[in-house]
Amino acid sequence: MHFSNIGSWDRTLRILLGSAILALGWLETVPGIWSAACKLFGWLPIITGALGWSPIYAVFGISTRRPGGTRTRRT
Amino acid sequence: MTLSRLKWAFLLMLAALLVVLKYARGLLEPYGDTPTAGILLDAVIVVSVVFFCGAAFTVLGKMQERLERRNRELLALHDAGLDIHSELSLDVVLRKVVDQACSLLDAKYGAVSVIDDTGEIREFVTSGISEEMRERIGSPPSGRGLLGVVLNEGQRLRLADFSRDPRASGLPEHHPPMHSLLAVPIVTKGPFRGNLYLSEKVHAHEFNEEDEESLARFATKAAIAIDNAHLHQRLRALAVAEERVRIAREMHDGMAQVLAYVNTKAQAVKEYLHQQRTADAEAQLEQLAAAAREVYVDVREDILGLRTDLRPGRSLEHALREFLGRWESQSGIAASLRVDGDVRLPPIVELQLLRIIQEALTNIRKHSRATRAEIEISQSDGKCLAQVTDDGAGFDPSAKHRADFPRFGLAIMRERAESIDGELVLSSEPGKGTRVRIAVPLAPTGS
Repeated sequence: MHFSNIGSWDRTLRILLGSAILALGWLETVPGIWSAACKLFGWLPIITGALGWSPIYAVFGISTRRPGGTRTRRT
Repeated sequence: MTLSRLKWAFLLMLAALLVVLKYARGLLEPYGDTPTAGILLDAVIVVSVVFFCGAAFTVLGKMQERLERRNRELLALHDAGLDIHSELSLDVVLRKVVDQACSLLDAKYGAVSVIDDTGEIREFVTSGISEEMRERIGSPPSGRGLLGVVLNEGQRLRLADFSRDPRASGLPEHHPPMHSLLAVPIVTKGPFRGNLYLSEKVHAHEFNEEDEESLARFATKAAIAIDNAHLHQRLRALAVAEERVRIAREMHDGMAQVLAYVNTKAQAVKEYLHQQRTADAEAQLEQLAAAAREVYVDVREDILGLRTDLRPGRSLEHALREFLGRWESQSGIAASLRVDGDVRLPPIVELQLLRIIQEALTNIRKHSRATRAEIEISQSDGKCLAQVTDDGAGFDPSAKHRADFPRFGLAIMRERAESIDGELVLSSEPGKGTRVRIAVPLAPTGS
């Protein structure tokens, strides 16, 4: 049973984006509370990218895992 | 995923939610009760809930998908079961099996191979390939290459692109392009040996593991259906063989009695002529001619009876109505048929019941001088009851012999009734007509 709904390019993008946000947080490049926000929400794309599964995609029936990498909606 | 696993998964997710909240509180603690910290904490809760709901949607969606798939599978099997009842031909059953397998797993092409004793493909029933396409492709596969792997080793096969497999011998010219392959053996308890193949899954590059399991389950059910079709074929063959033996014996016994009668009369004529008693000789010859006419009518009626058969899908009632229509015009006696409810009996029982009723009607025509005959078929207390009555002259059943000409119809009727575990009761009185009742168990008793 396949649960993943994120395609390979999407996963890479999420992990890169998550790493960048976390880096902003840890390096405290952004001021005060926003670095804490980066440390909190930077994990989100990393976790979804690592799992290959997005809860938003799941709720709305979206998958980027289909061949060709196009974003499709299941009916 | 089962319900108990789902319960544990939800508990784990709740625990993860608590850990996340603890982590968020720890990070936001230095910023105290500022509005931004409150908004960020709320956002964390919202994201966690979205995660939770997403996971629930995914798991429940997959469970629903699996249930729908099972449902489709069961419906396909149900259809296959119905086909067995409506179609007794093995070829038709195989075609239905391959069509339903394609529909079940969204495959563009499908095939069932029937293997002979030498291990080669004897028959190849396909789905998704038109007659024109089949003609262009040429002769069906012989079982070399990848098909042989399933044929000889009896293993399942699931390939994304079978043309790349080193065991593949390639597709013939004009063959439609095929890449994905899913093949499972059909293991029956009967003489059938074969495999089920599917190719080109619609909306996907290849068949997945679930498809393989689903097809294997379907093949198990298909095997039962194929075994049933084989048994039906054998049963029909046995019924035909048994009926042939019975007809041969009836003809032999009947002919022997008729010839004995002819011989006796011929001897009598010879004796009367020798004694110059020509009037007596003429009377004997007249009886002989009457017997010949009676035998002629009997033979015509027997042929009419034998032409009335119980083909698959044709009920006893239908066969009887057809027979009665012709019998009325031949005998000049009005006849009616009443059937209460949907009486379903095994084919052999239906055939014997039909022959018994035909014999009773023959007796009515020959002996009763009736103007009306009635047939009633009903069921009660686990038995099928058939009754043939007439408004004719009737007779004394205790009388040993009722006429000069030999009659053995009643003995044959009793023999037929006993062969199907039935009971035949004949009741009649002079001047009050005759009634023949046959009671047959609805379920076979195993004899």
